Amino acid sequence: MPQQEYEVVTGIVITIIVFLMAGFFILVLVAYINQRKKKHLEEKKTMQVNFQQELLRTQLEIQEQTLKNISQDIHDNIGQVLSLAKLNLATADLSKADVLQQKIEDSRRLVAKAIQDLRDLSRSMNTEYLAEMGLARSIEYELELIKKTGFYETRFILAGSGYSLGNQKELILFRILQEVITNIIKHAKANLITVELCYEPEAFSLRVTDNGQGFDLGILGERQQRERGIGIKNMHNRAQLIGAQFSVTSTIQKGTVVDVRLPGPL
Amino acid sequence: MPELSLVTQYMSMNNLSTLFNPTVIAEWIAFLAALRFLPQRVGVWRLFVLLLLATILVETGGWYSTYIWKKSTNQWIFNILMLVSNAFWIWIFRFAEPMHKAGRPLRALFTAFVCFGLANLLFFQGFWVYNSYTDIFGDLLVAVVCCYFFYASLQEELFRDFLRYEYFWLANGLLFSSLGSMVLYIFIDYLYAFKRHTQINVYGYINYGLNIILYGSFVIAFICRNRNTRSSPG
Repeated sequence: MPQQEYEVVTGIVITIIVFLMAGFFILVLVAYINQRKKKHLEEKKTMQVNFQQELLRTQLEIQEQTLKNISQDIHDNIGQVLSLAKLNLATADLSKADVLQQKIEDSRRLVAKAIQDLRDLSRSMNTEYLAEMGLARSIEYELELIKKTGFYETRFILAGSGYSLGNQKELILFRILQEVITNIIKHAKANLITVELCYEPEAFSLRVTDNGQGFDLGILGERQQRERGIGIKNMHNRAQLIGAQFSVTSTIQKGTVVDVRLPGPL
Repeated sequence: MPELSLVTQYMSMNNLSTLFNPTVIAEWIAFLAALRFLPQRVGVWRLFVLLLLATILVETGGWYSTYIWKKSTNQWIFNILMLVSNAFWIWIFRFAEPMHKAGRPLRALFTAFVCFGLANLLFFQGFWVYNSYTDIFGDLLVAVVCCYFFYASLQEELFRDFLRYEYFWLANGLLFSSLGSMVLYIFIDYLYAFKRHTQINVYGYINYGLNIILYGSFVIAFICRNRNTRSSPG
């Protein structure tokens, strides 16, 4: 009987120890998960800070690019138009009424054009214009500016009913587009730039196509490789920041296609 | 009868050692810590002072009733204390930030425990026998509440340093105490019988250990509560 009692009590003590160990296991698990949570939150915070920094850098770059465009536009377009108007007025002969009338009319038309161009420029100088106009309209306007240079033919294709991707995402997408276009102007030797925006419920895509000489990173010179590589990496990183997929496909003598895809609202 | 009086006095002094067992010492330490670290500003935690005072009074009253008055049972007073303290522990978790969304389930558990305890006290085990069913049920509910508290804390968006969080220490002590006590009271009859036959107080030793963990955790929780409710300078 006492032996049996000892066995029962030993069993009870072991059961209690097992229960206490279960409690201990729960605490260890809670502490472990809490530490992982801490690490995860720290990483999330760092990512948010990086994102904000990148966003700021993107804004600055867009402003810089816009100012460059404006400077070029003033020099190439408005300056030329006003010079022409000035020349017209300077060469006006007051004795020939019909020629004078024509020159005044031409000058009036040129000044009106310059005023219209200045209006467009003043609109693009507003740093909030992307947020106000939306992505599609901003891209269209950017293409109009490029077309005005006379070196490029541009096409803009909009598919699906547009929706907002959010100011931050649109800002970064716009900056990627600007970078792609700068690369085309610098390296591609193209004369046709096509931009397609496709708004589908499941996905949004931005595709920029040129008909230039294309490239193959493998056969480019070291410097070109480095420049292109860094440029593409920058765009790739920016796309990653907003959760987008980024791809570049290029064929020698046929051109280059840059694709950016984002999950849609659904 | 001076001789008898002397014998009684001697017996009383000898029995003092039974009053100041590890559990009661731990309760006193927790009570003094509560007095020191739980001023007015700590909110509902101030009620710990009352609860611990009641616990000490009940322990002392129970001891006095058994060893001085020689009453055959002092269980009724422990039954009431156990009912109140378990209900309090379930209730106080309502004030933990991670449990703000769990107000309704906590109310349900609280009500279920109080109803069960009162029914057991009035109709089943009664006043004169220790209400072990109520204790086991209470321990089970407290363990569930503690585990849910851990879960809710981990689900929060913000990170909490558990080592400085009073409710963590409260849950910690209560979880160990309730898991141990649950098994202890399921087999309480075997352990009492074992003590009678062998004079080995297994129940007592385990109970002392669990209470030291419980009240030790309480003391740490009180210190954390004190620090966390201190207004920042300036």
